[in-house]
Amino acid sequence: MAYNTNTYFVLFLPAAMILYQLTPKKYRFMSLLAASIAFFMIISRQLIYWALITTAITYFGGICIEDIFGKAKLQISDAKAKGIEIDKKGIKKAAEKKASHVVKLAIVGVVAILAGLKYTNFTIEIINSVFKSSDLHALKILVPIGISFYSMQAIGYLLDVYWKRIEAERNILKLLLFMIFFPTLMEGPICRWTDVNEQLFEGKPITGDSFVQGFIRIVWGLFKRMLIADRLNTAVNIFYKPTNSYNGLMMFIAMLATTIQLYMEFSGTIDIVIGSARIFNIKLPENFRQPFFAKSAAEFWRRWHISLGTWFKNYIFYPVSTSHIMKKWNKFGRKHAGKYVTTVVTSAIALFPVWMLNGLWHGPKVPYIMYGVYYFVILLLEVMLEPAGEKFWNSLRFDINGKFVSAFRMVRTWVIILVGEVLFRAETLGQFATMMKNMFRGPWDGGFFAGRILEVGLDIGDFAVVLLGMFVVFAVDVRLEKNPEMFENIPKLPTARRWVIYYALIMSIVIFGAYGVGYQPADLIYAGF
Amino acid sequence: MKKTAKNILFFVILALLLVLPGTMMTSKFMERNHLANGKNGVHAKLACEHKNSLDVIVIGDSESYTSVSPMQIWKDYGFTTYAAGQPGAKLTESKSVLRTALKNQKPKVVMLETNNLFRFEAKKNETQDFISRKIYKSLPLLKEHNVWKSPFMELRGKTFKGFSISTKVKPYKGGDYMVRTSKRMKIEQTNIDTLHDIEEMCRENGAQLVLYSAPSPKNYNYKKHNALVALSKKEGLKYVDLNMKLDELNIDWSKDTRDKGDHLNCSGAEKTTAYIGKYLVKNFNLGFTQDRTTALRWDKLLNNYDKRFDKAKFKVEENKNNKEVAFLSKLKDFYK
Repeated sequence: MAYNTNTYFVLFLPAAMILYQLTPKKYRFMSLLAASIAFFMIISRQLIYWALITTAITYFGGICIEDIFGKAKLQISDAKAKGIEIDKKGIKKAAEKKASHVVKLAIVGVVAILAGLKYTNFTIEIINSVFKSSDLHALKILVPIGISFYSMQAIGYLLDVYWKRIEAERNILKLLLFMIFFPTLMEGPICRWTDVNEQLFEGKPITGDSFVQGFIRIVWGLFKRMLIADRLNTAVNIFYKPTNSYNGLMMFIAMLATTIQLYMEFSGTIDIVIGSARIFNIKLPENFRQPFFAKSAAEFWRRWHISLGTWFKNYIFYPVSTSHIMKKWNKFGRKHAGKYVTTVVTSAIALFPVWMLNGLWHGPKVPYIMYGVYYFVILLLEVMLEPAGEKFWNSLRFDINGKFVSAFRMVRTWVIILVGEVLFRAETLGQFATMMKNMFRGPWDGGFFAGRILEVGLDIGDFAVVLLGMFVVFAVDVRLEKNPEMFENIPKLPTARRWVIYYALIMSIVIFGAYGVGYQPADLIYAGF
Repeated sequence: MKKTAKNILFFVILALLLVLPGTMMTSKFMERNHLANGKNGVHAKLACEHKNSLDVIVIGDSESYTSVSPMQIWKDYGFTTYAAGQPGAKLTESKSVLRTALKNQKPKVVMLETNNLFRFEAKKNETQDFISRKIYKSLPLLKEHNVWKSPFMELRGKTFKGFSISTKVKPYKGGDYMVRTSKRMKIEQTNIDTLHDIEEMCRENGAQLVLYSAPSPKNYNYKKHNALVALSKKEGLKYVDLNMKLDELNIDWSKDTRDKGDHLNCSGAEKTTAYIGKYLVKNFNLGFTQDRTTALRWDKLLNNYDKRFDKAKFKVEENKNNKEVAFLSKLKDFYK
């Protein structure tokens, strides 16, 4: 039961809403938990025990860490009250050490489950290919839904407790709800405890406003998915069929279709997710912020899959770049190698684990890992070439923040994104290499003008809808860039304008949506990660 | 109070928008206004055929309606056939087409083109399916929402009882594709289950089910042939593999295919239809239709068909010699 199915909209969501509304305020989080468990079990059945184990590790880990710090604090305050001289620093240090052992152990536990379920067969595959004599058989492992998402949340929670940013939750049911809250289970956004904890447990009733806010967001998500993503799905599947080969302009169109389809599918699903939670008066963090307006790859990752980027920034990049050893290097580097070299080396060391893990997180596939490597190289190059770039534009007397340079940088970023998404979508590195090579192979139009474009499962009407839909999404993205609260403000518009927007969106989905006979809705791509 | 009334009004207007257009979308309205197009269109078209006027119904994917021309069979043998295939149809979709046909028709023979027996179909989620059916039944607008495509589809030209005359030529140059082997392609159990449903429907309606494979180097090989021979034996069904009769049919891959051996064009279809017509007469009790009104209607359509078909055959020869086709003429051809 994915978020874009009629079972979700006609049965599950209304049932969850009724259950929530009928429950007394204090226990409403329990009805959300019941709905989330039901959602989990409908998809992954008894595999929910893996989520329960991860939650238990996270729960006891968090409490244990807090107790260690609490005891140390108590020891110090007791001694102070009794006027006894003690080694405060020593006690704190010992507690710190003990807590660090606990947090490491808990994280190892969470990661071991994730890695065991997701990467065992990939490891076997690598061992078999490296050691030709090895003949290990792949294991039949069923992976529970959302494991990559809730494991990240668990690790973030544990580290936040360890860094004393949050207090450990004492009610395991509340922690379980945070981990498997049904709207975020399949595709995120990856939430931090502080993003949602109060809202999840507050038990605010569903109101007319919350319903409308949620509804409009869901409809917008369906618009993106059903008009564009589901329609392009047919073409993209044909483009990537191993037996098919495209070149020149047709390959470029394949590249564009891949990127647009992925954006519309993922951001559309996130709109449905955010809208679903909004109905229950829970505001989830945004996961997209008009990514194609980015002027660099670094900025793109601050606008695309924001929650993943933020997680890596908070829990990998910052800890690495502010670690003791890096501080030492910074000091040494600035003195002996200069600011530029120090910045580049620091960035390289901090970015490397981020992008290797980012690639691996997406799944046990070589192209995913190379996708991580690709962005590591691109981001490092951006750091390295930034001063040269500034010099270059200055020498041409262009304003670096002016329209021309911004447009140039935006187009350059699109090229980076387009190539990256083909790598991301390709089944093998070989397929990616062939596709890239074919783009520069003649004839330049790849048969486009001979009608090959009409052989990818879409007719002229479909292409017209895709283009019109993209235009609407672009116009809305432009508005959102200026007014990020646009969706929240729609219900405040005059009735006539508001109703026209609602009816136009609903009717365009009903009439132009790619559903029913002849269409195959796109799978939730990120639900597979 | 005012807010509640406003909310009610909003939903009333929405309901009207969703329900009203649907009430007009009857099969007759769709067919009369040339809106019955695309994959769904065949349902409306079949529903508009005169009651019990069809002797043979051909179901399957695009291989079916590109290999059987009902008008040619009518001309040669005088019984009525309908090519009720759908592009890219899965077997369950063909079953659904047959269900529509059997509501109104009592065919003597149902022919199933076998290509979609090899098309993978994930097991359907029954709840999901049930909800879809209920929604489509109460809101026909949703079921027929693709009618907006009709102006584009209409450009593709008229179909003759499901068969459209294609003059495109894109030769197949791959050589012999039916290379003997003892291997057998697997047919998914879900498809076998659906075939059983189709057999049951035919039995209940007194129709005989025949399996046939249209010539198609892109879709057939010997492994599939073996699988289909074994399946037809097991099920006690008649099976004709036209891929094994290419010489007898005189298929010329340099001019009889419109897309490098995926589908036949009108020249190829003329050959396969001639064989199928003869086969049907020989094996089943099919003869000249006794119903005068049906005969008059079909004869009228045949007139039109003949004129177009003669031109089309000339065009095929022309296209065979035309290697480079410009975009515009190609596009025109696609929609004609």
